[in-house]
Amino acid sequence: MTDEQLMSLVKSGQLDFLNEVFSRYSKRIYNYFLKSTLERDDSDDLTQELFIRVMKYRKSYKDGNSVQFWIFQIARNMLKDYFRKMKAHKDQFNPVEVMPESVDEGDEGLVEREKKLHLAMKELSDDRRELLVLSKFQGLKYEQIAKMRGTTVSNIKVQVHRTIKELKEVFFELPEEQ
Amino acid sequence: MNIIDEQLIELIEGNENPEIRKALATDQALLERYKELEEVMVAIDSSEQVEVPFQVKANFQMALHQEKEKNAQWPWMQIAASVALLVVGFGFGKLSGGSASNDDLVALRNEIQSLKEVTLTSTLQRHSASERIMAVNQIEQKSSVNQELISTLVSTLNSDESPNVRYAALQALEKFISEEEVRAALVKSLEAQTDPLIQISLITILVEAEERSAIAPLKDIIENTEIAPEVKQQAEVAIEVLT
Repeated sequence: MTDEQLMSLVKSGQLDFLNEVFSRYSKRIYNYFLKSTLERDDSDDLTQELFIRVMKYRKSYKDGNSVQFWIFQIARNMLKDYFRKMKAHKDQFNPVEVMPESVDEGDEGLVEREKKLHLAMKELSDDRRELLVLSKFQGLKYEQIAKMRGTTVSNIKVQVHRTIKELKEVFFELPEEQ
Repeated sequence: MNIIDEQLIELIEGNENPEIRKALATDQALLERYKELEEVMVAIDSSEQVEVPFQVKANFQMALHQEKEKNAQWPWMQIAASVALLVVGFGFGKLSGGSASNDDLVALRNEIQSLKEVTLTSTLQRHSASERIMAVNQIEQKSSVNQELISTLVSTLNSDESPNVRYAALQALEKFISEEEVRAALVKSLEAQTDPLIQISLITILVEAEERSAIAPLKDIIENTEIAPEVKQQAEVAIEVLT
């Protein structure tokens, strides 16, 4: 069954199908929040809240439209609110490491690279970090991101490339051991 | 040739460019920049996804459960809310000049009744088996029913996916067996039923109602090789009683 068929069933009141929507999207959404906010506890709350919104606002889903697009649009709006709130409490913003627990601790090179990547991402602006997460970590197409952000595909492409360039500069400025 | 990082990123993303490839083969500084960008992009690609914490799943399950329970109460709340609206509307009508006549009261009562019936019908069409049984039981408690509710019960008896709901519909219809159309529908239903318990109950009800038009379908049951022996036995007894 496609995501769109599933969501149409949820919309018609068959709420049990929401479990399948959750199992298909929860990991992606959780990692979207985690890599964008670099905050574990907040990502837990945001993920939970997102699926509650999907449940509560299920009737606003338009049959046939991309579920992925719809869900990520809700997630983006939530993230924008989150960043707005965090700006008001900037002194409390102290990102924790969001290393995957499954990274093989024995592979020091991999652990080190992952750690550096997250430290470098911390230096990006919220907006650029979110753009990178959408395009590279979540694999959304430039067309979809352009539609979400209300801009052109070429503009998104330029922004993603600039973000990678900025990330590279920070990445290689970081000392080997933190 | 001045090659910028964005062009190198495009190359790493898979957009081949023979000129840049050629430059990379000879320009050591360019190759260094390329390798650095490649390392960052490989780090991004190979970054693993973190598993969703159990607590997030558990909290979502709890919220979903609560929503389902809330929805299950909805048809009954819908009746209550609609009745309240009607009564309020009626009260306003009375206050704004008119005096309530018996006709008004009858009209209000009828409105409320039809609202309840519409909701019961919709519950039988969309909700879970336990909710459908509840709806059937609500209909059974009525002292009289209209043609629409009878049709809904008959359709539930003949086509609901749950044998328990079908059985509840049969019990509800038994209460209205004095209605000719109910008896005719039960006779017809003899052909549609496949569950032995419902078949036997149906035969018993028709015998008690002394419905002789059931004899022909009862004979068909006896001749049908796919029907359970205990049902055939009941059908034979029924024919003896009815003839």
